[in-house]
Amino acid sequence: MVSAKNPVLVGKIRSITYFFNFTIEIFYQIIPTFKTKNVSALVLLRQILFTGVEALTLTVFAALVIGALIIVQASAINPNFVHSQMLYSILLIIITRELATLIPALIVIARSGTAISTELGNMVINEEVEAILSFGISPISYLVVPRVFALVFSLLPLAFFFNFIGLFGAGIISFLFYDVDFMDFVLKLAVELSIKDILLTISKSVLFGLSIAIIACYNGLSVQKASTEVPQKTSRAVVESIGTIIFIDVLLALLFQI
Amino acid sequence: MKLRLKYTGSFVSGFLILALIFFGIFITLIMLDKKIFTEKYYFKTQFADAAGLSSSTPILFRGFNIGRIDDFHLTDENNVEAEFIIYEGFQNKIVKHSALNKSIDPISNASSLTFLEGPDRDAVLPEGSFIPSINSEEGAKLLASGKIEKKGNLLYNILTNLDNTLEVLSVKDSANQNVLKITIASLNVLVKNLSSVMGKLNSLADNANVLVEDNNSTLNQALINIAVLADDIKESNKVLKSGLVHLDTLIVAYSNPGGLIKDIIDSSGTLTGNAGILLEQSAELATTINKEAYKLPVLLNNLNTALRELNLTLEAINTSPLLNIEEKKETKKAFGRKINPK
Repeated sequence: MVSAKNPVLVGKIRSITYFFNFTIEIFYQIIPTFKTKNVSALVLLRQILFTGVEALTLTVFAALVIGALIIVQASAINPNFVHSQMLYSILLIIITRELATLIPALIVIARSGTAISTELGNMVINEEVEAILSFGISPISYLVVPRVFALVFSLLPLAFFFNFIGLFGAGIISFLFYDVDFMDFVLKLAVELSIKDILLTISKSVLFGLSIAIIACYNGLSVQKASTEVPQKTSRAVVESIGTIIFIDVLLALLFQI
Repeated sequence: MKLRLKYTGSFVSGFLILALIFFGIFITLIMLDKKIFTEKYYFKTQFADAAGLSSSTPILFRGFNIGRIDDFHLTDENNVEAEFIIYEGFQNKIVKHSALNKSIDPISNASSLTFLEGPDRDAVLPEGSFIPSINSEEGAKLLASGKIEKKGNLLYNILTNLDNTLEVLSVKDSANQNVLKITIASLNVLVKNLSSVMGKLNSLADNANVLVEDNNSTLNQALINIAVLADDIKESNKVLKSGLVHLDTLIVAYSNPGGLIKDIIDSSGTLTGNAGILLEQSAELATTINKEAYKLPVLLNNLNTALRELNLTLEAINTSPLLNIEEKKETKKAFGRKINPK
């Protein structure tokens, strides 16, 4: 009765149900994946190489520039601001709590999210996924689970790189242009740094990595037959990933505030 | 690329190990700041309230972080008992007649604990000793005896003194309050009576209106009401007279400079002392403001520049052709029928 009246709504409900089943299946396939570690380990390592190591240059550059810019902008408001303790709180709020996870996540979406979605989409069109199935291998176990793990294990180190380099950049600029002693900078930063900041970084990175990988894989594997579907699904994966990470970011920020 | 694929394992391991090192640096920094590896000495204290206290509130001594609050709880006697830690190297500062001063910055609302060292630096107290806070009775005695000197935020001190002054002004046991109470009670009765008279006057006016319509019985009722009203006015007059007598007594008492006015403002003499401190601190504040005053022209100049730039920006926005909102296009019509845009 509903399908006859509102096919769009039915389509949405069906899509959400597929997505949840897909997510559950990924978690269900984690143990079989590690049993076939010889094949999956290589996929995992190559994915970390592409997602984490190759994104490092851009992440480090962004971190260094943002860290330095915060100091420059803060000193533009008031030159003495660089010497106040409040600067360290602001640095940690901006870099550690927000940007250290958000910027690497956006870089990963732009580089790896699109790549995963396109790669899997093309594999479906070329009937490679069917070939994997015909060998009795689960495509979730072979294609999806390693990518999910790879994205989580790439985003987490990238977040720590961003944190370290961002704060280091801010320290270097303060030392070079505003006569702030570097050791003094580190000690004052340590006063403001709390275990909550580290926990927030870890939890955000893990959730961002999981959601980006699952959304990209789901969209890639949902390509049906036409090659024109691939770019459509890829752009959809990007939009959904960005929306999801923003939602998770807000949710975790609120949770950690409580 | 081939090289990268060949050494994928090495690249990935290096990447993960480096990230682990950064993670380790962060954890070490936190541990060093929280002095996790430093030996700690535990002491006890008591506060009047737990406002602004947290389990990590630092204890400062001449700007140095010498310890922190470890735990605090409310006792059956409604006191806040706290246990605090003193870090290694500072335990010798905990001497006899020392105290803690808890102050809350009125602007940032952040609390801080300042350690006030006792006069005898050789009388070091053993671990677990009780160090009073200056909010407690013992602490107040130490402060009054001059064994410790309270130093803190200037603004906080001014506000505390103002608070004390207001407390003095709201004296509870003054004998003068009786006169005031009687006067206020009399005035209250008078107001009630006047209110009743006004009610009856209203009723009279209503009756007079009806009288215009030639109703004899209503006229009689109106005359009765006038008689009752006259009696009420007589009663009110008596109360008013009594109230005025009390007011007169009060005015005479207050007109004498050495009389009630002195007692009500400064019954215990604390106000004069506080006002003195307040004036000293205000003078100090004024000096500080004077020192900073030279920055004002620069600030105003910057503000002026900023406003000029804002003006230019607003003009640019105003004249920007990109931001002109075009009027909505009229719905196209074909053969007199509307086409619904989809």
